[in-house]
Amino acid sequence: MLALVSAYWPMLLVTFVIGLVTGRLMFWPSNKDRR
Amino acid sequence: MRPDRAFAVGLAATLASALLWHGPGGAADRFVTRAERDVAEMLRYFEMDQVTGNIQRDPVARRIIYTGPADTFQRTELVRLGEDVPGIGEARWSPSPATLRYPLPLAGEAVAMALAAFLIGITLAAIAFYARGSDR
Repeated sequence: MLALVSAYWPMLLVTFVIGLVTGRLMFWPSNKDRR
Repeated sequence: MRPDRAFAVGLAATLASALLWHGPGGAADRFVTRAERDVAEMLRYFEMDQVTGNIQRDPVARRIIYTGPADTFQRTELVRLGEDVPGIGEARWSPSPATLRYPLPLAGEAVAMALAAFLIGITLAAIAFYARGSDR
């Protein structure tokens, strides 16, 4: 499993950040969407 | 952006990242090269020079397919030793009859890992949101 993660870690980092940004957009909607 | 739309866009970006990194990004090729080098080293160490171990392709999976002359004991031991090589899920002497068995194709495992990282990111954002108490 570690060998697999070591081959794919940049992609995992990117998808983790995508998840954080998605969560930010989901839980803190913009003022425009809140109206 | 609406929450459902944000989730759909994030999910699509996650799937695209996984598949782009797996194929055009060369992660699968690097994994296969490294695993085949490790298997070749293991075979050389045990002086099994007439046996070759290749990683399964079409689709790429964490599975070694051995070819070459070996007796029953060597066959059994090479399966055991091959499965101890880092990253290898299964070692066999003949191609696997089914695609959907462990280990799954590497692209599927890459997508599963990407989805896990994506969901961990969303979960951390949710924890941060609820830890603050409200949408301040």
